[in-house]
Amino acid sequence: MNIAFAEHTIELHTWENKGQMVNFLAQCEAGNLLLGENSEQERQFHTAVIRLGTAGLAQFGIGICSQGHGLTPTVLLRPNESKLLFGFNSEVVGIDLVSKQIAFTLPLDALFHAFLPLDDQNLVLVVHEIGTVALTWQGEAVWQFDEDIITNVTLEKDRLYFEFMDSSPIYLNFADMVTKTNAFAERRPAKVALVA
Amino acid sequence: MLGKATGSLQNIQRSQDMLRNLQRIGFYDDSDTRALLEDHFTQTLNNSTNILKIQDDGRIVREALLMGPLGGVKIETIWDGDRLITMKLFGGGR
Repeated sequence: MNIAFAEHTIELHTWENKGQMVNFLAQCEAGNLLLGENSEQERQFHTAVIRLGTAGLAQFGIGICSQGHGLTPTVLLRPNESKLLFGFNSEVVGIDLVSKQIAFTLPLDALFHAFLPLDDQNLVLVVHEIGTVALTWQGEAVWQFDEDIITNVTLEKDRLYFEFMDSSPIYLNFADMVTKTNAFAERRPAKVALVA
Repeated sequence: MLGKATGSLQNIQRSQDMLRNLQRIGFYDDSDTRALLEDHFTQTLNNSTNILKIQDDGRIVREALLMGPLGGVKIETIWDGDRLITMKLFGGGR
């Protein structure tokens, strides 16, 4: 089955080994990129093939070498956006579909878990195992928050609620965080104890 | 680490994957393994030569080898002071 976005479609595949994946990518006539090759271990092999335009004749392939750890890579797309975001291992990679190049790479402090798009603020929350990074679609990390192993993150109005495996839940005042103007390292939001 | 995590699909899958890796090197979820892991992490924390990096938030990433009867895994751990936050296992087979 295909996933449609803008005028393109995506096909997702999983491969038994790296050789199969590389051979498949080599057949993508519009080019290909291989991500995660710097991984300490390569356990799972995934591809996303973008069929460009409604004709779908030109294929651009993106391969991911995953460390495994029981986790599956995730791709985030946005209508009318010429970028795709891939979350895997301990990083997020933005791919520009116009140049067919890596637009940015964001290393994470821990294993990637999920994307939480905030379209009205032009942000994507990147949830990793022990924290969150607020990322623009242009690849700028606006703020970050690290705590403990996260079990759930939810957004309600202007508050971001975190539940943890071993710590009490908290929320962050999201509106306060996006208006910070200090340097990145100083933008880390103060945590607020969750009031029942 | 022993397959008993709850809370989210990712946490559950991570935990089960770590247990599979431990089983491949000969460790199972029993009291002996728990005691051995406790000892391993105590030694990891107290070894000043195993620091891989210090993160921007001051947390320390350490790495150490855990040997079992059937092989070994490298365990990369993240510490906040003496508190173990999380870990990744490398090796142990697929």
